[in-house]
Amino acid sequence: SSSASSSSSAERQVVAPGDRLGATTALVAGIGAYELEGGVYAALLGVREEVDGDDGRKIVSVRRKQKVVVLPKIGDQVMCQVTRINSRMAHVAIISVQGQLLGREEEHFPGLIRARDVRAFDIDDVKVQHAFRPGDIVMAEVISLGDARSYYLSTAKNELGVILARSAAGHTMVPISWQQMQCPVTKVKELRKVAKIDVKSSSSSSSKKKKKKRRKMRVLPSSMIMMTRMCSHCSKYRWLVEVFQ
Amino acid sequence: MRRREDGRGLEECRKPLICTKVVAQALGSSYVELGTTKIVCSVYGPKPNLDEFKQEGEIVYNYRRAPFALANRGKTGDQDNTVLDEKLAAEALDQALSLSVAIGKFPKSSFTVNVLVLESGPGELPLAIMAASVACCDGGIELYDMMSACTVCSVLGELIVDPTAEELQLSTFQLMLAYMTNRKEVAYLQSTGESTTTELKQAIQLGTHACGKCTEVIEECLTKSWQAEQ
Repeated sequence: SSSASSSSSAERQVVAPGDRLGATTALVAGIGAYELEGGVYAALLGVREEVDGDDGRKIVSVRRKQKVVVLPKIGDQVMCQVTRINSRMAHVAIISVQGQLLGREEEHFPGLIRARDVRAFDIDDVKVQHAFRPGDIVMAEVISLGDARSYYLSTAKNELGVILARSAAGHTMVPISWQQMQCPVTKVKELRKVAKIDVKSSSSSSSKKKKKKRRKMRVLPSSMIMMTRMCSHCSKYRWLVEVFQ
Repeated sequence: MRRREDGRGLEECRKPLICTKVVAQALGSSYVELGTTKIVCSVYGPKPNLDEFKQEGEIVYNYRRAPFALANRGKTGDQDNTVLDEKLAAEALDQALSLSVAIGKFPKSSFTVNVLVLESGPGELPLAIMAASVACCDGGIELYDMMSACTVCSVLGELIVDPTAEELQLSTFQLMLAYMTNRKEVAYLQSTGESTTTELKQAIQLGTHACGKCTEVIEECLTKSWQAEQ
């Protein structure tokens, strides 16, 4: 098989699915590679990358520049929107995995956050309606592949929870504590499980931000519809989502 | 060496034209052309598979011919045959490609592979298999190997590779196979007609050799598409 390398250095070697990368005595299969009968082969079209592994062998992976097929795995941080709640759980639609947006609405994986996974302390007395409301954007972590219908998610960490919510009057709320958010117009306080995010540490460049802004508008149409039902303007909402991402 | 009508040797197969990223909104796509046969393949996904919990992914194959694809178009009496034909082709695609896709890496999801034949012709199914394989690779679906496919047929006792429509009509035995070159595995085999065991073995050998040539074309195309991305 041809290993079409455009430059002489091994780092830039382009590999195609099925290309042999080496033997399992020297390599471990990472992302985009697989092991079979003593050899490690590429599974994607991309650039070959090697990192030193634990047991003296190198971890070889194949990296693609463009969008990769994203699926939630256990431990991934996901951004999701609450679709409905009941006393035992909150149903959500996962809209982004590890910072990568899932394009269309039909690709939004359903998830659920059970009452006992909302927070780390006092889990028996959790009231779901004091943590989430439909329409909220929540940062959560995948704890299990769950059942056929949903992934199981958890917000039991300080940095997980609601990052964007609208008040009953329809205005984007400002967080005032880890349990409360306040509507800036009516001054009404509402209970939520608020996420502790370091907003200033967003490291994306200005050009990336522009790209993300466009993509956001396409990705969250259901929430836009929900917001427009509750209020008349959405401009503040777009800016906030960009900042939180 | 005996030459065929179009100047090719007996064991020479035509080189298909393969391009990727033809359908902008799809996850991955490909366009392949061999002679007059033209096929577009697009892959969509991953969609959540809500029917049952599966540790592996699922791929749904849709095979359709455009209304203008066949030479004799619009015969309403043939509608049932066309639908059956398409369904069998989709099943063949499923059987062949399921061996090359690493579905264990996509739990609870499903992908859709849509094959659209723009112009039908000899070598349509092998071309569709190659198109689907390239489209999956373009879409970033993890594959064990790229798959290529070709037809071998026996005309007047001689085995020829990648037959034209006239050669197919004269043939007594046709063999279509899908082959993964790096893994050295025949993924799918379909034969019609009568042959001896030796002939069958020889045909398989010729077919795998020709598939190797097709894989070179596929790899060229993938390299080009990679360089175009940079």
